[in-house]
Amino acid sequence: MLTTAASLKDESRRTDGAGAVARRQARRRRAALLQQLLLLGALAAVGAVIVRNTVVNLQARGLASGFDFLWQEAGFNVGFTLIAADATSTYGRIFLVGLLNSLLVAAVAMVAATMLGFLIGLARVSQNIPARLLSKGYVELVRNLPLLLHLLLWQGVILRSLPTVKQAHELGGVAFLSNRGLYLAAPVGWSTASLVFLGGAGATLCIGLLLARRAHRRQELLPPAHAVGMILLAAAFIVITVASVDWDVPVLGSFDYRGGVKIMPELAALVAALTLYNAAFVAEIVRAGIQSVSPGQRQAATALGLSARLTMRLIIVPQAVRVMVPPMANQYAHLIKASALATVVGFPDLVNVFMGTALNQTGRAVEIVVMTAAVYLTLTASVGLVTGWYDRRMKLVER
Amino acid sequence: MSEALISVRSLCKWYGAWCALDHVSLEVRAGSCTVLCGPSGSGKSTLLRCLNGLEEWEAGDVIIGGCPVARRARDLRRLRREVGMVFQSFNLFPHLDALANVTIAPRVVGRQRRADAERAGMALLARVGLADQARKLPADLSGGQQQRVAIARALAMAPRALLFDEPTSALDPESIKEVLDIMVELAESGTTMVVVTHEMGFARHVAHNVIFMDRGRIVEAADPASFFKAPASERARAFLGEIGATPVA
Ligand SMILES: Nc1ncnc2c1ncn2[C@@H]1O[C@H](COP(=O)(O)OP(=O)(O)OP(=O)(O)O)[C@@H](O)[C@H]1O
Ligand SMILES: [Mg+2]
Repeated sequence: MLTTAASLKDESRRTDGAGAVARRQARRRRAALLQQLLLLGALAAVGAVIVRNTVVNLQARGLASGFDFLWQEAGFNVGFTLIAADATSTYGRIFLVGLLNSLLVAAVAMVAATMLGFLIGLARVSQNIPARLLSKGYVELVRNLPLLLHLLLWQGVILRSLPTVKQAHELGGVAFLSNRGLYLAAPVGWSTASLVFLGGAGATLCIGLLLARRAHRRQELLPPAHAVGMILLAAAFIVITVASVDWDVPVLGSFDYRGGVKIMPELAALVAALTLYNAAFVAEIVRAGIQSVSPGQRQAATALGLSARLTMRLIIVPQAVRVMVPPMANQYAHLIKASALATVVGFPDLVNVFMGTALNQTGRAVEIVVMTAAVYLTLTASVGLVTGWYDRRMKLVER
Repeated sequence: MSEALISVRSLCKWYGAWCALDHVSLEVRAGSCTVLCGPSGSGKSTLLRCLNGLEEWEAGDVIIGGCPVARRARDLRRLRREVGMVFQSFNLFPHLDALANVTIAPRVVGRQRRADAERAGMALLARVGLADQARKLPADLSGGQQQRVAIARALAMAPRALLFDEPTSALDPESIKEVLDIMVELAESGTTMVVVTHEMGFARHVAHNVIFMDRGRIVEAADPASFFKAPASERARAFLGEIGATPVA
């Protein structure tokens, strides 16, 4: 019976005119739109009730609201700042300080984790057995431990076990590593000559990159010799610049090093843990991307006489990158959010100084949480936008 | 009779305990077309892959143009430039257009200038009838067109011999004809070819030699006329019966 009913229905559908089909589709679209609007309306209503309740409750307890506190003096110092700030700075400036610190950590860890992860991922699929085993061991060990454990390990064990300032490890006479942090020589005296050299380095580097980019646009497979030459020239200029600048080398005073720049151990621990942890995931993404390229591709390239290195660079990696973009976007978003664990090691990131200290002092919970949340949403959304754009561009090239 | 361009002497190849090639010896004269056939798993692909060093072997020699193939990476790369290969699944590079697929080896391995490589590449594409498809990506080409690009790509390094591993097995009948026509043209113009194929029509009319393999051994090697008329071995007869190639009187 069922089959008869179904075939009858089929029959009627087939005998319907094209107009009827279009009408039915339009009706279905209207129904779907109505459903979505109803859902949105319900969500908005729930949101409004929550916000109203919170505001009413806060006012009932006599807590002030509004964003005026951003112009008030904060009255506390932040241990690490990229822009000038002290106890007389406003909460608005404290917000900026925290934001920049968070951005610094996320950016450095993102670049470092990508580079390290790429190397480990390539080692994972190399022909070299020790390299393969070592990288596999690294990945399995690191990614299966909680990030919190990595942070505590770096802060509590590794950095504490460094020598005191008096016995600091000296690295080439320009860097000193102790349990108070890493002290680096900083350039101070810029003579005219050194500025000229620096300009030369910048100019040749730009020309080299432009030449390489133009070659890439014209579908040149390898960067042309003059582009490589320009970049080598830039490297030479950089060496001369470094030699011609006056360096402020940290010197050991009676209690601490003076001069140069100091990288506090909390920052080092945070960046190290985020980098090493995320590198393990990046390595897996790279490995999966490379293994997703069919073995026939490597065979075809090898049969044409391409070396293993050129095969990797011209055939395998360009195809693997396409597969890697979406999971990489996820990993970057994860890293940005994970940088908020700075509080655990005591690094003054946005969450630590703004949602911590500033919130405690002002009590403007709703405003501060909303601002902080907005920052993270903006950051992760921009990662999504950039990777989405890259993905579309790739698709356009391949289709 | 011209000298052997490729000679294989007592080649043995093991996959673990499985003997994929068992004392295989053969000679391929310059300018000749050799067809390899045999049941699935008989070692045809393995043999072909040894001929251009894609596969390592345990014992025996492969000699190309008088030089034994050494195992050093550089020698292997030189060997691969002298022996081109066409695969069943085309294996075109999907991120490069047809012309770039053809010119990549001359440009990065042969160090030719781009303009020169592209001129030669366009000539090769024209030879396989695809001059108007040069700027298309593989995904936008039909199967037959892709395989013809792959043949042009294999020709780009001007190899001394071409290896084909079931080049028409992944194609529809119409595309099979396109590809076979090119292969016939290549054979007639004196290209040294070793072809693994089930296209017995091609073997019968174009090949100079037919080699029948089974379980890693060469069971029979003959000229096509005698092979198809009266296969010497029972197994070859059974095989021909199975694929429906009836002996012609
Ligand atoms: N990488 C490998 N590891 C283990 N065994 C293999 C491997 N490659 C091939 N073999 C085995 O070696 C034998 C010969 O394989 P080969 O691919 O040369 O056969 P073939 O004659 O080309 O078959 P087909 O007509 O199916 O392509 C098969 O039994 C196969 O199972
Ligand atoms: Mg095969």
